Amino acid sequence: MPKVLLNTTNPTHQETQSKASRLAIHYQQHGQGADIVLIHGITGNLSIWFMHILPALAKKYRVTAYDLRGHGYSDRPFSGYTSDEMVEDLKALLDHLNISRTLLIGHSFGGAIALHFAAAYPRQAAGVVILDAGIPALLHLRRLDNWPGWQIWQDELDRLGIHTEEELIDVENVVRKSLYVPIQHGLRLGGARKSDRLMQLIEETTVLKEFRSVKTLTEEKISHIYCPTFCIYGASSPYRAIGERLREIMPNCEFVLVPGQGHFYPMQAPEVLLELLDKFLPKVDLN
Amino acid sequence: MDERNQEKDLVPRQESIFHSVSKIISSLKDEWEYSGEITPETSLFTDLDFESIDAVVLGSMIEEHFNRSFPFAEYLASVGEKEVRDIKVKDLVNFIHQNLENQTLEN
Repeated sequence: MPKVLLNTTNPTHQETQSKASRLAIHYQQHGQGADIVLIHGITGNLSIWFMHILPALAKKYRVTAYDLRGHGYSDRPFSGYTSDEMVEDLKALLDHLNISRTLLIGHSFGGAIALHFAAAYPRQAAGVVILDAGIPALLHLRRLDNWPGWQIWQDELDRLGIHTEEELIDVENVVRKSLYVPIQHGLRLGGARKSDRLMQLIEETTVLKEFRSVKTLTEEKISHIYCPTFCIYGASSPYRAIGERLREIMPNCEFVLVPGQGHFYPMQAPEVLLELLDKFLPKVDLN
Repeated sequence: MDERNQEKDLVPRQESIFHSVSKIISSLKDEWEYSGEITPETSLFTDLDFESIDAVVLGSMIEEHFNRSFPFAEYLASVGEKEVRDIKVKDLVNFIHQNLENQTLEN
């Protein structure tokens, strides 16, 4: 399977020291043409793209999907799960693959990585598509407690027999509980989302404590990203206000809501996403 | 019909594909803690406890082995539309066999 060993920096848990080490990142590449990179979110892996989105895009583009550190078939270091480290993994991967300019499409935390990459390496980022991402610097906008759509999500969790009560606003808890929600899309529809691999990521690494840290991707930095950016959010997603804020602060940003859809619409309604991408992609200079 | 007979029903070409595929699956097996024998009737998701990512990786390793590409993404999408969303090893073998044959005809 295609894997690349990256020289990367993994902070130790003391945070003060850091040491260079080698980290294997698993990727898959399909199609020919201008480059598109697909970035999944926390607790996902590159297979989320394989049912519909990747095969459709690979008809016209060279599409690279990879597993974030800790996820899928990539190595699972103890720490280094903020967008700061993840963006360097992506940079090393793209350089290894000789991808000098690419469109970046990221779902959930993958959207934060895409945005961070465009801020850090503007010449390499032709454009960014953000699919319902929670951006660490803007997470205060995700007001689960007084957000009107919350009741919809809570009803859904109730229907699935997941009881959460007041600990709802604790994201770590929500992620843990979400592992017990049966898979809502794809080949393993109805199957258990919880797997040994996922439990090891959550129990044996600092991922849930780290991934929401702002570190260097500040609101100020986001406001200086000039490449075409397309934010597509689910109308009933808790992250919706984050997309609206991105439209306000970014100079070259379009914002679209997908009616009746929540956080996982890219997998649940891929045809809607593909249609929107068809309209957006011609606006991006990929070469 | 026991598993040995089912194996015999495969034409020789498919039998050799089956051996390659089960070898590749075995090479990944430590990830899945599966100790049973892999037969043409083995189901990837039900019996081997595959996750979607394992199916994707298996696909890429099969491509590496045969040194050519197969339309796995489309194949997975077509399985996703079926009522029983699972893949038996023999289905996979048929899929590979068919594609190898088609590619031979095209050349």
